[in-house]
Amino acid sequence: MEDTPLSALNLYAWRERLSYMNQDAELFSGTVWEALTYGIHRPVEEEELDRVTRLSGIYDFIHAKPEGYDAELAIWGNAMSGGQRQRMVIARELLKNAEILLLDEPTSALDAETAAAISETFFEGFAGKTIVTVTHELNFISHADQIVVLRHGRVEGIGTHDTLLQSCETYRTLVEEQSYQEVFVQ
Amino acid sequence: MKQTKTAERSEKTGILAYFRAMKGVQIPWVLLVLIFAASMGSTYAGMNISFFTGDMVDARGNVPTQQLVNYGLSYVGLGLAAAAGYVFTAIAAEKINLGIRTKLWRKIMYTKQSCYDADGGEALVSRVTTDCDFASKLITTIVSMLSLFVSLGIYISRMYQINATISSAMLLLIPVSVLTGWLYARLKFLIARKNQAMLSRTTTYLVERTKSLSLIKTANAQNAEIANGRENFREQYHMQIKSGLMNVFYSALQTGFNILSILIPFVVGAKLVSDGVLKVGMVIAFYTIATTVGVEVTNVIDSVGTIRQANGAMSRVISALELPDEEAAAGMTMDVPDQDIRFEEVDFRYGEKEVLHKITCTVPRNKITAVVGTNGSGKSTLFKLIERLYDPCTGRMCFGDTDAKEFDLHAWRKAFCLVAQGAPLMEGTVRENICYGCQRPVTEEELVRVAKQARVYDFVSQLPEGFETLVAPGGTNFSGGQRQCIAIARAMMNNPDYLLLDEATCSLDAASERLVMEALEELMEGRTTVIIAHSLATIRKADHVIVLRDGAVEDSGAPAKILRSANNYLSKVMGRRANA
Repeated sequence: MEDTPLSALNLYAWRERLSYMNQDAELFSGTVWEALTYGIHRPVEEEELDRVTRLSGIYDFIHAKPEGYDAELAIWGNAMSGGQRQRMVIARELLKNAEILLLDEPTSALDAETAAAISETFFEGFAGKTIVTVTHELNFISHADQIVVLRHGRVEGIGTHDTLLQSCETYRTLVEEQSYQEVFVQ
Repeated sequence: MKQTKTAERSEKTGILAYFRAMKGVQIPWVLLVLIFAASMGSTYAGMNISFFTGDMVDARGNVPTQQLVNYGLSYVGLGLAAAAGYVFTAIAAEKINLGIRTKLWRKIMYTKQSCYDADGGEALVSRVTTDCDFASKLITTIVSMLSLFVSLGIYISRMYQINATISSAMLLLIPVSVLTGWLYARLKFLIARKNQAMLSRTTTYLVERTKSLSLIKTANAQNAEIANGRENFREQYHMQIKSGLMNVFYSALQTGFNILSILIPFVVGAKLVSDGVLKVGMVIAFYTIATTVGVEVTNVIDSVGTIRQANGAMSRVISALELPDEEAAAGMTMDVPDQDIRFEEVDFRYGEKEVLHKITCTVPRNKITAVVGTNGSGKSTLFKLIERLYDPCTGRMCFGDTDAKEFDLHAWRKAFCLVAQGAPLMEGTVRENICYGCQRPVTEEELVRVAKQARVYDFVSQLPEGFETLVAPGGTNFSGGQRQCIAIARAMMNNPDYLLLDEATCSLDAASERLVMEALEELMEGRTTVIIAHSLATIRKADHVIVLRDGAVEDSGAPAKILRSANNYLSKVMGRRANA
């Protein structure tokens, strides 16, 4: 962080500043309320929950049941679809309101429509935050301010889409492969 | 509230249901007879010891050597009989448990898929691992009750031969020991039931949390979880304290019983001795018998109590055994030419939730059919119906003109093969994974040929152990694309006529994706293929397209036609891929 090495920061204070989301959309069983406020170390008002669930697009799903926030979630969130689980996770992380978002291909298990809607939610809900996303989707990449290309655990290039196309062999291959899929297979 | 009541009621199981559940489990009759014989042996030896003791007292110091030898031999006999009884009981119990465990596992294999919808089948794990242990309890207890009754009969008749008055007085001890045992068993049952409920809560909690430890850490929720865990463990602590207290209570009861078993023979005996009817030694003999029999009665009552405890576990095993089976292996074989698969007005619900609504469509033979739709549009359910994991609620699925239900289920499934999203690998070697489900010996040449076709050969042959490389749990020592290719090799090895593919290439990088596509194309060669399509390229390559929307068929036909009428919905499903 700035000039301080991360290892010098208090681990718990550091994690408090992070939101991590992956394609598994992990939720614990219990009530919807408990799942949404997991890891929130302050009292939460219902209005606040209404706000984040509306933002993440899960409000209607929750309120379709008479128990609302008191409804019980099955173990592993089994009764929900992948998109609904991911929206629950987004609501939870919106509530946490961390400064840095780590997205580990959070939409890769979803179909295109849901994935697009969810990525939109990410960028709207977390506007102004630092977002780090692991992805291989080209269109996702083109929105990035900075791209880091990794290969076998080494950094092969850092820059924007245009500079990397010029300077980074690996990146060029990745893009070409992707274009092969887009153009040639058809 | 209502639900918990029904659950409690279903905890009780009639003995008939128990024996129904034991059907087909081999009962070790020879061992049961041996257990009975051992118990008779120890009764005989124990009784001899009691009377020899009495005789020795009455001999006033002049004990004949022969009697001492007999006394010693009886003790040896008692020890041997008791040891044999223990060993035989343990072996018999485990044989029965093994039988029921195997039966339950077989049952799980053949249970209808819909029975696993609610809990994903995880709950069945403890049925197999722990609940089955109680299966033997009823049978071994019946044997020990039987032995007890016979021993009691032997003791009582022998006692009455010596003196009726003291014998009758001692019969009073039986109801007292029954009561003691019953109280103990009842308490133990109550505690055990709470204990089991508590343990299963704790287990679920621990399983769920340990699986997502990284979420706990990133949410900084360690302290909250420590408190949650402690709450669970505290319950366990209280339970342990309670059962400790119960043991104290029981030993108090036991002491009460012991006092009574001293009082009755000695008070009545003293009177009889002073009347000159009975010798002192016999009073001692009666006292010894009173304590031995008392302990035996209590033990049996205790086992009866454990049966009640076992009842809960057993009722869960029984209810699992009584789940509906898939249709038995009867029906037509599949050795007929390939046909179109036709859905006629098919409705399907998971419980209340309607997933498919009046689906009418055709999967033409020897063609590639692409199925398109958003998450939750019913694509995977359609596959599950084709695999006959579920039956349509209404309407029919036909193979040509014949209802699919008329075909033998196992033959049907052999004709189909699913290459699923995520490509789950199993524990074992790569070879075992490729040959899984292949019910014939596979030659090395065949394995290599298939591995090459499925693009598995190149990366596997680079591994030091080759095809014998062990797959790590979750297949983590292979990349997503490699796992997919291994799954494709497995499908090739099984050589099905019909292929069900879930195009799961979206979580792969482009190079792996190309590899998987090449392998898939080899696999699809000459087979009827249904593919859940996520890309426009796949739709273009298909011969026939079915568009699903909210569980209904939105459109179907040739790709050119579908793409020409390309509505909003299709571009929603495909996203940018449709615009490419």
